[in-house]
Amino acid sequence: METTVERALERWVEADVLDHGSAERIRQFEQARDEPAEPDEGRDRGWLAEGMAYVGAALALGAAGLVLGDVWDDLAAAGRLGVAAVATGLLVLAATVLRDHARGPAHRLCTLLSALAVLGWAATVTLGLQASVDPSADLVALVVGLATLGPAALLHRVRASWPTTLVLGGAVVTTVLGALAVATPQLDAPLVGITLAGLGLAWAALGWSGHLRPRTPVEVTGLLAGGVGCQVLAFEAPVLGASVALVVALAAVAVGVSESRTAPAALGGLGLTIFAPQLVVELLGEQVGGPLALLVAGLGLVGVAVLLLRRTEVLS
Amino acid sequence: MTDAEPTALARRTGPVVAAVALLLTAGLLAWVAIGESDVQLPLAEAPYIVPAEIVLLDAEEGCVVLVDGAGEEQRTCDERLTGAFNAYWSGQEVWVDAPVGPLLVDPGGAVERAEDGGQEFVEPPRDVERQAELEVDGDVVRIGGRVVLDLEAPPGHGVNWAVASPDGDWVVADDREGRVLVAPVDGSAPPAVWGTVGQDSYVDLYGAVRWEP
Repeated sequence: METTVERALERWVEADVLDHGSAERIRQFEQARDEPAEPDEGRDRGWLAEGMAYVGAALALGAAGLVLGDVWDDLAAAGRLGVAAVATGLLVLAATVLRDHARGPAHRLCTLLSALAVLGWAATVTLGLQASVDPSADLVALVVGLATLGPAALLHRVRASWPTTLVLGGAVVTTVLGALAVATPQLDAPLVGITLAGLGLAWAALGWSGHLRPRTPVEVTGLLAGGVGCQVLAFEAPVLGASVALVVALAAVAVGVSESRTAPAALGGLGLTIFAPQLVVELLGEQVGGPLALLVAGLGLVGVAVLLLRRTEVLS
Repeated sequence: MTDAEPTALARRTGPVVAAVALLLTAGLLAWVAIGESDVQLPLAEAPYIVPAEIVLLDAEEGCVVLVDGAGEEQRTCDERLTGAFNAYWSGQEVWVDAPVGPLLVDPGGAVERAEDGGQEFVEPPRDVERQAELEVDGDVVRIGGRVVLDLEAPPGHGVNWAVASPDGDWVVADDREGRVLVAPVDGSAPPAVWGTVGQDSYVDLYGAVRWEP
């Protein structure tokens, strides 16, 4: 049984808010819940197969990368397209074999393979475009983003998870940036930064509200994209970029602390550490701002830690 | 591992935050993409004459453009100048880095191949100390911490590079919109647009500007 439950039971019995009989019944209930299930060889085999599949896939990908790296430049456009299409087909085949598992290692492996297959599809479309019409890089980004958006959204709808969140988010960003690049004469840093920051924040907000699931992967990818966007914007407009990032970081900390969730609080704390010093230095200059920036970042982190600990104590 | 369910506040507020973020993003994108610098005054209409000349390239039309300190242009065009990348002004001749090789241009006169191929012009002496004090920060240029040129432009439309005149009275800068701007350092008159640089061209503010002694 978890020691926190045991400690709580002892405290409640000592404080006379719970009688011994009830405490004992709770203990027995929790012990029964904690007891390991019957040995499940099938489950062990599943974990083993999943681990073997990941290691094998990493080895195979590494080897394929080495082989293709040597010959890629010598391959004709059709040859490159063929390699991408075959690899995508193999991924789809492997995912199809595992598709009937509703949960567990096979389910996760199937999801990962499906997500990789969507990436393979994106690569195939890219190479197909380059082989046939040789369009501009901007147009390739737009077409590939659009072509990937559908499969990525469909996959995310049926198997929402970390890999599908990453693939769907990547497809959205590629599509929007591709459209922007086609529409504007020059896609420079501020445009990229603003787009990433805005999409990231909107993405994270939809994850927080539960409209895009799973919540934590959506929030984390959104906040990271937003942070990168703000940093890119800050290269050209330091005060604007750092200010937006700080507001988002404070909001993430507030969400993390009020809902006792680690991911938003940690990312918010990271954002404070990165952007508070930038803003202080920008506003006050390096000579005065340098030490002050460190002070602000340090105090910000301590503040987040204290709030998190207080919240944890209140809940326990 | 399962995520905690969203709170009622999150369910209500999240979509609003997302919508506001997307609207603000669209507004900022429009501002950056369509917006332009507040500095639009042509030098010919400015209340001063700059004691210098600058040579610029119209690489698309194949022309060397010599602009004097009052904003008057003198164009010298030749098909060999099409696609030219960079130009230096000696006070007598313009040396041009063109796709056919280095060319020497007599403004208003002949265009010849530079026989030795190299650039023989000596750039005016650089005021290293003053240049070290000069700082480009987005759309603002400062000398010794004092703002001497403010383009008041959206992000991405700011200054590429800036130099001060040898006597320290003027500042010249090129911006991301491909314009060359000039302003008196003492702020006594507004900055003006001296000329434009083609999209695929480049201006070396030391070599292209010839200041009066």
